[in-house]
Amino acid sequence: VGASGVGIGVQVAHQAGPSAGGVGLGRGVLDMGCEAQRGGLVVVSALEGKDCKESVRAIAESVDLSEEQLTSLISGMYTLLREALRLPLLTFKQEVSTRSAWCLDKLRIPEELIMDFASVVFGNRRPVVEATTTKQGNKLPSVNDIKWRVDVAISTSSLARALQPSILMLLKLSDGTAHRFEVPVVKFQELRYNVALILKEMNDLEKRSILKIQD
Amino acid sequence: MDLNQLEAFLTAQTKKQGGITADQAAVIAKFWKNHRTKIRESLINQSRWDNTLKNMNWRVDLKSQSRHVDQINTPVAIVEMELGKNGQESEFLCLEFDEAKVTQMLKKLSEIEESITALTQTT
Repeated sequence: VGASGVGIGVQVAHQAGPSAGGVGLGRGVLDMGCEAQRGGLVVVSALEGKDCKESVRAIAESVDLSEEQLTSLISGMYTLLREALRLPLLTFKQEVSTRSAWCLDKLRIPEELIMDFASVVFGNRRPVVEATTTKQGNKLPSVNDIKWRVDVAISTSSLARALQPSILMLLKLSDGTAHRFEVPVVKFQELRYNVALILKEMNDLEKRSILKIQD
Repeated sequence: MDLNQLEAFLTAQTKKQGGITADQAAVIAKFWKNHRTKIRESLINQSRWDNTLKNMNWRVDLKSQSRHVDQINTPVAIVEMELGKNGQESEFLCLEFDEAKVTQMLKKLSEIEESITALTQTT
């Protein structure tokens, strides 16, 4: 079981049958009994970015399954939900009333658990999971805060009468670093123009339906 | 020194004993007209000790997919800022902005612009 409390090493087979731990996902879920829902909750917590080591340990102590079997089951549930959450909601038909939803009948997963899975994929916990996924994604640092000050140089060692404004900016970034730099007025106007242009381009991009990937 | 002050100064120099000729004054005046802004900027830069924003480049990408999300389809701006001191090697700051962050940045820059405008109007 990985650092987040859930290993992702086991691929979920699309046919019933023994998995790496020697137990089919559906069969194993049945063997877990009422602990299956707790297992499902652990998986959801892991998807939300929480540390689940203790919860997994507690389940391991209360079920009659080997560590290998339990790891396979939780990994299976994790992979199943991760794949379901990967697809946009529009792609899915919310057919949770039948056991055939997402071929879960082939995995022999009990109907109660299908309902639980569906509530994660379609319910109010989805935005939390999506927000965690976005946060954990691969990206460049972004600006968390901007502090600024406008100074006017009255007189300098090189110039008796300067009277020149300049902007001192401090950018605090999401990676914890801070960068302080001076911006001359001419460069400031250039910066402002470019930022406005970026915003315009972004707005234009959203209007262009050609760039919207169709289902 | 504005152009009127320059003219007065050069006229005084031509009338001085052992001063400059009218042709020399004309050449100096022309040179000052053409390069005054650059000279002033250069002198002001001599008193800038912090990193300064030298240049910026940007591009707008459309995020399409990631490892855990099949379709994203949101625009993202990648901005590269070149920061450096005079005569030293620049450092490049690469940042990512979503639409909300760009809007926030523009709002801050508008505040600064208002501050500068207020300053230049009062002086």
